[in-house]
Amino acid sequence: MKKRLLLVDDDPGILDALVVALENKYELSVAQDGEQGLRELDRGLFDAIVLDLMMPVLDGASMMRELSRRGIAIPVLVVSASNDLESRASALGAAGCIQKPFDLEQLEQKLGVIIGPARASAP
Amino acid sequence: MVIATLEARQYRTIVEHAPMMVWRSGRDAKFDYVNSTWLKFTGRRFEQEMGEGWLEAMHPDDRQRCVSLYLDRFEKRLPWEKEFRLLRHDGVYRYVLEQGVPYADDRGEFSGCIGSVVDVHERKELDRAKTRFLATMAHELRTPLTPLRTYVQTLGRAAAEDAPLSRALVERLNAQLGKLTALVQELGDNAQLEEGRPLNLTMERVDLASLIQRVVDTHRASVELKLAPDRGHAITVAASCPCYVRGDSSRLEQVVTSLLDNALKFSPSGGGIRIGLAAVERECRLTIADEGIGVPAEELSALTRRYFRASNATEESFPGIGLGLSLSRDILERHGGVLSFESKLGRGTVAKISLPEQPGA
Repeated sequence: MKKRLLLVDDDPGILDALVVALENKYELSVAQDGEQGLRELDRGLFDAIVLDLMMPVLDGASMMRELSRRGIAIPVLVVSASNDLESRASALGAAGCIQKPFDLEQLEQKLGVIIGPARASAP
Repeated sequence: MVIATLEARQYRTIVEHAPMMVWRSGRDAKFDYVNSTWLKFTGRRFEQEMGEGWLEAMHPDDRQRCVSLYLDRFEKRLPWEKEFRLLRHDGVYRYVLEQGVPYADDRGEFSGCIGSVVDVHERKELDRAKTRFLATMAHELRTPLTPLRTYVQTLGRAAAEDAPLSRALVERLNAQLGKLTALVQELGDNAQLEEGRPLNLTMERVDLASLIQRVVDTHRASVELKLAPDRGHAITVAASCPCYVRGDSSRLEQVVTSLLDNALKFSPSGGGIRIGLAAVERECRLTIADEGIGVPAEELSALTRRYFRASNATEESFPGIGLGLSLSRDILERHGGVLSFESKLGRGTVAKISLPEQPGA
């Protein structure tokens, strides 16, 4: 069983690149804004959320507040290009953060810290 | 002595009519004079400003900092410079810059301080807009870098495993590079205009109807290439006939792209975007109407100002560097054209371009 990740980012390029890079290792769902992200959470169970902060409709911080309001305790890895990312992420109660543009290995390593090693897909 | 009195009167006239606000304090550090420029600015009476009365016009958040600095410099007989917000007669707090110096009487004894105050609100706003712009710029440049890096690393892994390289992936990588290049180009254009050097234009006969079609096709392709999100917008084009202008085709394409991008960005998912084109009274009129968040009426005229961002367009929700419209306006003006907007808050915005028609074949 692969671990399940929800990727939430308004940039389709980032979502696409992450899907291409991670689809062999994780079971992935994607959302383009916080509202879509919440809908995905209603539909399935996830081991972690990779969440962008700046998004239209419902931004990342608002989505995290909504998660805690609903009592959902899935670890969130905040991904953003903003400069004060670390303080913002810890204020929001994120399990970790990573600054754009990130290194793929760095992302995988952070995900490993949060949810343990990804299981490679069976051949 | 008569001469001295005359000089004193002349100095007083100069001070009264100086474009800057001037005040003076006595040995007790309290105001005993302000000039008429000061009174015109605050809209208050002379007596109201005397003593410590003038502090009422200072923004409450600035008071403690400013009063301690003033008293410290007063005590040490030293000059100072500080910025604070002062309430103008129309109820608006304006950023002002104050320079103060100690002064002495005829016998050389310290008698108080004299300050001059100028309104620096516009400069301050511009500084703030530039600071915000640089932060946004860093963010916008990082955004395409993220997929670029991930695509390259994924291709690198595939190459290391001798796995086949995906052609589609290379195309998407190339598209992200194009996006980054366009952003850098926009920055360069802006710098060139700020230095007062006009953009280079290559003028030719351009059919706006086919130009619009190219822009719409490029947008659709950019959704395929994962450059733009697919938010289900319905773009309709009503261009009755070819409509010729004399212009720089790629620059005009840049303008229409920028306006379409804005319409898409500020529209809800699934919202309609209507593009219209018609030749009326020797003018080509192009309109791009969206069903987006709209622009507050009082901000419509500022939309094409460099670095401007409407107050309802928060950076969290609507990324962008704030240069597209100012560049578009510059480009259109170079073509003898005009860019204007109509908007209803919460209902949508119509961007309107008019350009002189170039008749004949």
